[in-house]
Amino acid sequence: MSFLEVNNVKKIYTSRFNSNKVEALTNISFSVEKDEFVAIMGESGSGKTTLLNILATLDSATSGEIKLNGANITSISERDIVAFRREKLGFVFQDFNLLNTFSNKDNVLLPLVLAKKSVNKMQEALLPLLNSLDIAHLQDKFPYEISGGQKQRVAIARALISNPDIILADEPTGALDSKSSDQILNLFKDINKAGQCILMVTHSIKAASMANRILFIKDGEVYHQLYRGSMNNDELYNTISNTLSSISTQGNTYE
Amino acid sequence: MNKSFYTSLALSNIRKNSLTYIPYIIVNIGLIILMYNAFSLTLEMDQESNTRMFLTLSYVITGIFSIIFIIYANSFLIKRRKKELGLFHILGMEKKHIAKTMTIEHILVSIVNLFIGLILAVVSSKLISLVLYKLIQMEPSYDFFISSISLKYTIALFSAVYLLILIVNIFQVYRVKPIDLLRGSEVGEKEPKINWVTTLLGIIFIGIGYFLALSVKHIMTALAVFMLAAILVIIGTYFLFTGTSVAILKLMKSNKKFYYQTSHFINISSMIYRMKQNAASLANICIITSMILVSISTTFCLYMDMEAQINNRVVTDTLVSFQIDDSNEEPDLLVADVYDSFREDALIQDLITFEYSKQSATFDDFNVVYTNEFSEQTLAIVITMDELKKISDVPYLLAKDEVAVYYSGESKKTDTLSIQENHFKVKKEIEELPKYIFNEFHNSTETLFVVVKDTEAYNKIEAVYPNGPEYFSTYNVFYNLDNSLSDAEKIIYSNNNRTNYIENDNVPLKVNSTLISSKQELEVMLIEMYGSLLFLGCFLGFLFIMMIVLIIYYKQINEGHDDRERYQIMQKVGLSKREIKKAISSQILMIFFIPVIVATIHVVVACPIIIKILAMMGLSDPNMFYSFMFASLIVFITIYGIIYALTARTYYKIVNTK
Repeated sequence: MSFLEVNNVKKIYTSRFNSNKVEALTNISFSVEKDEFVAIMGESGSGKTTLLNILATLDSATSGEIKLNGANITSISERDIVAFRREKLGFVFQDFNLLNTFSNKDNVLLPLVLAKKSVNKMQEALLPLLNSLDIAHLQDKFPYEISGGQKQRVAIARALISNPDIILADEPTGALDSKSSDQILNLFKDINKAGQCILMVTHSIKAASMANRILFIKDGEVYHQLYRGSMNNDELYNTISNTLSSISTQGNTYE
Repeated sequence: MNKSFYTSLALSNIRKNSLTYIPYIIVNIGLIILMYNAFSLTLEMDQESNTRMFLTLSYVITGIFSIIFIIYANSFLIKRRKKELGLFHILGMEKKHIAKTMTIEHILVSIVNLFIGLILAVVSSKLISLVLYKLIQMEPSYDFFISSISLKYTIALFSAVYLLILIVNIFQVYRVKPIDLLRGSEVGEKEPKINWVTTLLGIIFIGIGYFLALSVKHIMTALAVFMLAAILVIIGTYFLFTGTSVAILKLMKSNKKFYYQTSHFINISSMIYRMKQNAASLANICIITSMILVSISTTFCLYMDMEAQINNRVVTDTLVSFQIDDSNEEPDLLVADVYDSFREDALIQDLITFEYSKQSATFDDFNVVYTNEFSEQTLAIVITMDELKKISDVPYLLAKDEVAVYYSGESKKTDTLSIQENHFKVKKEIEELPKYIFNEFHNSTETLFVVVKDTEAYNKIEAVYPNGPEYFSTYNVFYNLDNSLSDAEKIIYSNNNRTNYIENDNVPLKVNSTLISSKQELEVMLIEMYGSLLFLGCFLGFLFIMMIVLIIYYKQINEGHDDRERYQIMQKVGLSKREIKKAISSQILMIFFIPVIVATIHVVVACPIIIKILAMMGLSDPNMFYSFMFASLIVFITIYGIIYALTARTYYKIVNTK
């Protein structure tokens, strides 16, 4: 059994006032291993954000099931879902979602405070993490005082501090310049090498080419997937690029 | 683009922003109602009356606060709208088009304010004037009329204010860049640093204010000290909220065990972050709350105490007291003639006449020294046994150089009493003053009552009285008037008595001065004064509560919009809805009730000095003020709690909409 299993997930949006149904996800199935770094690509409207929201328990699937580390996400009760999200999932967003009212340190500690951990435990976890992300010197500054790349590091630290099963990243480099993007992507790679499972949704071929595996989603289905195999980043980049153009031009499968 | 386009755009803008516009319109209407009525009632009153004075005060205050208020509300409206205006600009409207839309919008709202406000003002004016006439117990005129002067004045004032803010708004539209318009209120604000100067100043100002208020001894200086202390405390309160609050919050933050608990963590950080923009509104709420509490409690207290005050000051319908000139030959006989003419009046009953000396003096260690200073704390009354027998039983005998003494204050007891150079042996201590002997100023001065054996002893004291013998003695005529006379007739009759029997060329007795005090006249005077004072208190209370409601409401809306994003982020990171609700309600509760708690401390500290001032005005029982203050506090907190519940609901709504 895989670490993350997504089986036949379907999501249909119905508006309240008329019977128009919009099928955001038709039938999605895939699985991810514990040590994988998976990128999900797709055009706008392909359903990748819906998929991420469902994985993040922010939205619920119409049918199908999702298992994370043996636990069935789709059947968690409303009451436990917040704790689940806090303990098992780590989030990295495009626009960082840091709180300006907190110092960077407090932003990182937020999940632990919400989990009511003791001050000692927080301190133990904090410093090694900040050091490994090279942001220890920023801890007493506020998010509005640091650069975008630094903000994203703080956000990654916040995602990692509760030792989540999986990191869900939504366009993590979308708001960054190319230099910061590279740094953040390398960081993801390092984190993944240390054994962290990462699932990233992205538009960027550059970002996707850092992953071990790329899933392409089109019209609510997994249309295609691509393994790195023995390719280096540049080769993978070209392959992804070709795949994307062929998907958008004719829809032929290309392997 | 034609005219109707702008008008319909303006109308839809108003509709879209109803959450902020409706309270603005309601408050404007309220202000117009208050302003119109305060002004028209003032014009209705007698030129010289207390009521007119208090009403003048009420419309001046209403006018000033209306201006401040409308400008405040407008700045809030504009701040919230900047984003929308920026969007119009980006969509291709030129600034002059935006300005045009805003002008139409502004004029529409202003017309609605004035139109509805003035109609309601005129409609309510009869009711409001009936309340006032009821309070001052005067016959209202029953015909309904519209005061055109007040109408003009109100329209002029409010139009001027509206014009002013329109100019400010247009200026704002032209000044800002579209990108700023788009960002509007989202510009990041830095966390405030502890400013030790303001922190210390806050503590020092409030400390000095409190010290002054608590340490005032002299009743005559109480009012001036109160004013000074109030100003110090107001300034201190602003410093307290801007400086001290941040310092306290930072202190809380530095305690890690305390800070890193879910609800403290969220609240402390957001309060620190927000303190800079919040401090002024919190300080305003605090000061306005104190003003409401003081004005309502004092005016109610005085009004309810009126009956007791009248009974404290007068025992019969009329008291005529006079001092006679030195040039009278055989003054005793002439005075007796005057008494007789009162006695022969058929409408006069229960006549009591006697003579005593009633003078201000200092009184230390049983030493009386006469002074000219009224503020010297002791009113020294000297009477002979024979005169005293006219008004009460005297169950003791005094020998030559012996006295019986009553003193209302505390003094070290000795066997001898000295009045200037005269020494007397204290034979007896009197427990209670006789009915007709009283100190009108008993709350502000102590009473010393001395009974001497006879005229010989009395004259010895008169001889050393420094201001001359003709000012030493007072002759008193107490009487009731026949009940066939109405209250108004009694007042006239008493005044006629004075001119007929004392100050008349046919009366051979020459008098220095006469004083007439009529119970009915006092009643009319006090009812008018305290009635209009109560009206003023309630009027201002209403005005201030309206201000608080607006400040709080706008603050909540503003914060709701600011917080929405933060709470959504926290929800994503793992904060449950229940915890959000808990954090929000504890934060709103703190923000809401901190100013009220500080205001409560302010007024509790102010109580003793307020009591002294009220005592000077004649309050019969100083302690009753505490219950009035307590009642005002309860009523206020109830109203405030309702406002809290309503605004908190709006806040949740804003935070929870996606």
